[in-house]
Amino acid sequence: MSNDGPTSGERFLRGLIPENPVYRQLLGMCPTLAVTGGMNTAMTMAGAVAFVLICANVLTSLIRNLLKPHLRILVFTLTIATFVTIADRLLACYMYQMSKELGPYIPLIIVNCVIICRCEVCASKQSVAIAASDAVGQSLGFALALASVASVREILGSGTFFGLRVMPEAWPEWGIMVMPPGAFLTLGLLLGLANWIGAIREKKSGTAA
Amino acid sequence: MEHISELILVAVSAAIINNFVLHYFVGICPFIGVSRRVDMAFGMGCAVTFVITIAGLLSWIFTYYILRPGAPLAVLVIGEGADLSILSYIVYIFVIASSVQLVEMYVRKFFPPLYKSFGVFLPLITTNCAILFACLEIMKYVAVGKGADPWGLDTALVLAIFGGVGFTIAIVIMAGIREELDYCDVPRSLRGAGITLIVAGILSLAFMGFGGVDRSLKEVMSPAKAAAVAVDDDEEYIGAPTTMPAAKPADGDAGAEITMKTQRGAVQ
Amino acid sequence: MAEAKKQNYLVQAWLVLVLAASFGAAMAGVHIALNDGIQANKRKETYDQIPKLIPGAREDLVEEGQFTVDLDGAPVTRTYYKALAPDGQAVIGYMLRAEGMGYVDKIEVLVGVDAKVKNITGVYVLSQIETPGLGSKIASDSFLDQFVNKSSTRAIFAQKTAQKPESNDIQAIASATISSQSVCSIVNRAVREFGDCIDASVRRQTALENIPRMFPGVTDDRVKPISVDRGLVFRILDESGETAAWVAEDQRMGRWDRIDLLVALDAAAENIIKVHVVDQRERWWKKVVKAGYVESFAGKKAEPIVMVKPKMTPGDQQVQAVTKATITSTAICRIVNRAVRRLKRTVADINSGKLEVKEQ
Repeated sequence: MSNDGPTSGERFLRGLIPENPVYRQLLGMCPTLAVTGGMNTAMTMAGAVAFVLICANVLTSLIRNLLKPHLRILVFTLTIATFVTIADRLLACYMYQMSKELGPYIPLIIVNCVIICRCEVCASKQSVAIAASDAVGQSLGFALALASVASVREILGSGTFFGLRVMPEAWPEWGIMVMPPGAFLTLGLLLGLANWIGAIREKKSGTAA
Repeated sequence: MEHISELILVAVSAAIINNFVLHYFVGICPFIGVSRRVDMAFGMGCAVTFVITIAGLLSWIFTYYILRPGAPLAVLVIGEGADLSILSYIVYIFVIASSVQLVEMYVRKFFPPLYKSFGVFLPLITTNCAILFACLEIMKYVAVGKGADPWGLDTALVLAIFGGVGFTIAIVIMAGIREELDYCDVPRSLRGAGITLIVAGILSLAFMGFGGVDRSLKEVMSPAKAAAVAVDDDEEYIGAPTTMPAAKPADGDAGAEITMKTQRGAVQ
Repeated sequence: MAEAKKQNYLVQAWLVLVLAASFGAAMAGVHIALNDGIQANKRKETYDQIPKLIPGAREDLVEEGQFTVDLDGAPVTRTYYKALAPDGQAVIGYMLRAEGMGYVDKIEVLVGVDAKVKNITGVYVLSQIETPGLGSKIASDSFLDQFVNKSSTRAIFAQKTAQKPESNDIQAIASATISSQSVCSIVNRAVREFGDCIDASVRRQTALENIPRMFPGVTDDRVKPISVDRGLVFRILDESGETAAWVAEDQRMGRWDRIDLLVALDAAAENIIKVHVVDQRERWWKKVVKAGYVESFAGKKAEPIVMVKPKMTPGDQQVQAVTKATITSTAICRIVNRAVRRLKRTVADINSGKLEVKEQ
């Protein structure tokens, strides 16, 4: 297959903001809400998703010529499930405390729409290099999204950042931020903010052009 | 009676107190995508409940008999100490995919009008976190080490069904609200996913009010055994109180009479 | 056409099969490589706490044991961890693992108790998902430190106000009273079940330690334990090997906490020689000592003793209660009576031959 379309560099950059999996494609919202109570858990989750996404993309890209239409999804699912199991076991072995905190959300990476979507859209059609850079870009974009939600929730909710105290002692912790309602509200408002910024930029580039 | 009350607790907890969508954040994608109209939402909810029941049933069977450490069939084939739990996630995802296929075939064949109303959602459900989450919860309670009883099929099914029911409740409420929101002036940047998430946040806040209901339910259904009075065959004493003064109220747990330790048969 | 179709399916399926096989092999490899690490992590979580919860204990000198608890007819096995002294024999303390329902969901705790299962030496919360910022403070040191040195023979309750050090209650976390009380209940239940389980051996050990204090000069070989249906009885021999005294130990809740006594009858089991206090934590104990209450039992006949009001003069088989310590006095009187009854029954049974003397 010829590489018509964006180059690997472009794909990488696209994944960061223009095609951000959470803010633009609205995929992968379950972990974005669930593990963003603190930066530690959020970044661990981002790392796990990155590992699975990159490995799955590379593998899928390697076997892309052998895939038949009906069995595509099956193969993707099998691959992703295997890598998620490996990631889960690695976490349990080397970061036991963190794996306990993340709980059931690591295996839920299997049904994370981001990964299946990238495999389907990109990796099964493009070469390994492009697939890999696409995966890296999307993972970073996902990590950025998680970081944005997690910082707000952690700083307002516990007064800490990565576990280190940043707010003054007198700050009354907004407990609600660390609980489900805070997650929904934060993501909803940040989504609105992202849309608003996007609309402004469009208008600017629209009027400038 | 004990067992029925445990089932009721699991049901209420899964459907309302620890609602899958509003507390555990699973099933958000369909929650946002399919909640524009009440009838569509209800259809999606029914589809999810169907699939989650079948998937729960199958995953319990696999986990109990094959996958957990020390499972009967695994021990039969491999020997003592068989632990196939590493294959759990792959098995579950296949179970879910097959359940979706099964339900789709079954409904299309036997209930065409039903298929018309929610059949289109079925393929989407394969990537629905809620179903995999139900399977993972079942695994958590079935693949326990020695010392605890693994959940039976009835408890697992109750969890699955009422998890689906909870999802349906949440998504229908959301659909009702969104239908009203259509007439409101939502800021452009918040339209769609933004406002849905904010409303979900308020809903989740409301559902937090149910927290602790399972504790109270538990106490109502299996009240703490009445404090046993010290059986005393000692003689009466002149001038001394004839009974020991009432100890502090019994510790909340059933049968926990710590202060009256001396009634036990061993001590005489 | 059908032939080609069938072949097509086979061709398509081979990729899935190859992938499945290779993934299976990869998973088996991961399992073998990492499983030990994961099991070690789980074990480490518990064993790491042993030195922190039991002062003086070491992680490598730990024995794991199981005991069964009968919950409404269904036996449940629980684990305990025995911390041994460097000589490998003496027990420094125990650590128990317990769980129960909190406000939101299960709370798992580790409880450390001393060797006699009398005091709590520490509590650690293994896992909890209580309300962040409120109930989650039960895992904080400031809350858990309150449990250190609380009596494990008496229930601990979470109160709203600050507690004096001698109180056996702790102060609950503000706005998280249910979570705090849940932790108390879990700890209470754990030490009660464990205490009941190893009760017998601890009491025997304590009695053996205290008999020499009761009869100064008595050597270990002159103390013969006899187990009877309802507890432990000791036969004390004099230098010539003849029975010199019979001792029983008994205990009961006093006003504040458990009172442990040793009661000795003479060889004929007709008179009370002495009553010895093994352990008590009563509030007004100084008054009891000053009044010489415990000594007033010595010399009475081995018949039921009646306690009279402080203002009245006691008769032959009567003792006078201590002012302002009536409940403590009552408890002691009842313990003595019960121990005396048991001793007389035992001695009568031995003498008549009904009871086989199973000396240990």
